[in-house]
Amino acid sequence: MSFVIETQGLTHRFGGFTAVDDVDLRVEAGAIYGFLGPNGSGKTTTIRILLGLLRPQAGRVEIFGLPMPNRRRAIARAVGAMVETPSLYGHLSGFDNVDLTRRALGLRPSETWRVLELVDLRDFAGQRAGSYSLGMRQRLGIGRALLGEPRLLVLDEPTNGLDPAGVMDMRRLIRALPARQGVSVFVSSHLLGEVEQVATHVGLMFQGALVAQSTMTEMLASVPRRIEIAVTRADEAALRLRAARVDAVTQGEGRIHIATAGRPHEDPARLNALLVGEGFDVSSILTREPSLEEVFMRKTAPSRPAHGVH
Amino acid sequence: MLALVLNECIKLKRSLAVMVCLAAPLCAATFPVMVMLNKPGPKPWVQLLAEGAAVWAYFMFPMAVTALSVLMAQIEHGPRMWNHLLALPTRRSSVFLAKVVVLAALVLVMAVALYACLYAAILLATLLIPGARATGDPQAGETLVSILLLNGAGLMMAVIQLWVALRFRNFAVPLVVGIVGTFLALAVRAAKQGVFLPWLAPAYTFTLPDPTSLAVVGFGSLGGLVLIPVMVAHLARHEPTG
Repeated sequence: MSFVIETQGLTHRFGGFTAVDDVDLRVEAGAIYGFLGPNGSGKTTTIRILLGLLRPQAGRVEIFGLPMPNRRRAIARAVGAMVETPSLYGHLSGFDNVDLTRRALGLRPSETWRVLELVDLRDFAGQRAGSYSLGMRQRLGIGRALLGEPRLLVLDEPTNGLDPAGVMDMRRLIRALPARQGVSVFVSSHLLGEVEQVATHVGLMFQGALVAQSTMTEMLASVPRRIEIAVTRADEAALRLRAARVDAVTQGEGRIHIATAGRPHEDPARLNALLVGEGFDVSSILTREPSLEEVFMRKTAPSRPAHGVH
Repeated sequence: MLALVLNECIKLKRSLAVMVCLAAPLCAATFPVMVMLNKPGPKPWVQLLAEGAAVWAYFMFPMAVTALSVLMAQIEHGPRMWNHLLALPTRRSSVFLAKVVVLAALVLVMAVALYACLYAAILLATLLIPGARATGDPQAGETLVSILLLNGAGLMMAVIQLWVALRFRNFAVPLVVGIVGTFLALAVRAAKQGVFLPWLAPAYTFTLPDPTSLAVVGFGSLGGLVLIPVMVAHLARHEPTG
């Protein structure tokens, strides 16, 4: 297996505060890796270490198999990045903003127009970047990161502050990148639902630690899906299901919730047949897949302080 | 490196840098005009030029360098560009060296602008102020050399100002350093201990080739050259905060 990013025991402290704690990241080539966690969970610090902006105090980082920060310049040639908010020179045009980086990278002048086209900003290239909407600024930041066709794109919170249309645009752009550019994407976000829709792989950060990491499919499958049944005499029906080794609980009037573990007897059609056969009237059966938010809450539950009045 | 220097020039587009480079010499050039307005009559070119150069050396030049260095640094600090700039596959030292080169070039531009403004202002004053006249040799060649030397002697001051401006995100820090340095230079002018204050070095070009002045001017210019790699190395090692 070839990894574009591989870290081992990555640790960084700010004074007495451990921002990144023993993180072992593995990002496969061609993946859209969602690096998720709440604000302050260590995502940006990790990204700054990956880009050589911070030196890790412990552990090692390899990008394309090269050690960071020792081979920073060689690595940076193949990495495009947008860290935190897209930092732009507001007094310069969108074109100038991209062109400054293009020139610093020693690329041919046509490259600026290519990436402006890619992020749909060609028609606005002459406008001052300061007059751009947040969505346009984010797209310009991504365009600038795409200069020179990098093999890895690192995006830190690219949907931060965007309106719903902007979020959809960004999602479309990120999803299209691996196919259009052949690039691996490492995207951090605290909006789990957003990344769930684009990522192929996911890593969950909490309090500086990487609590889980896998493909999106495996991550979602790690939490049981739920079946909701609307039925008459719910309490009695739940008792009957439990007798048939189904983990059923009543939830309000006329509703049963079942947390499934994927066993054959938990199949919705079989449950329906069982209940109908016992004389219950089933009005609906819904299968609910777990969301990434539910997965996150489960994985971080042991580390989270209990809520409530003491 | 050339690309980064060109980038620094482009970043100054639509900024106040050009205005500072022209306004500061123009302000200094108004001083001899004021002198001619106050006491119309014939005055030697040498005296009029010296009036303007003195205002420039003691006040306008250090203030203009302070303003330019703050401006150049805030172009990066303001939109938090360091993360982007220092993640590029360029040598970090080149990023900072390019800034020094451009600041030095702006100091040179200001020298030429001061030269042009001084002569233009005095000539205009002789035409517009009744009775005003500049007498004797205009000493065009010597004046140009003097102004270039004056600005060259301020290299160490310029490097210190840029260093502080790039190191601290808060623009008040380099501003305070510039203001304190400028006023301290005026205060310690008479004291022996003050001669090696970098903000004072440009003023010592007036008393060349006096040996002390020669040492001070050498310290201000060559010292600046020595300080550049130290500054660049320090800034390149520093971890950016945004």
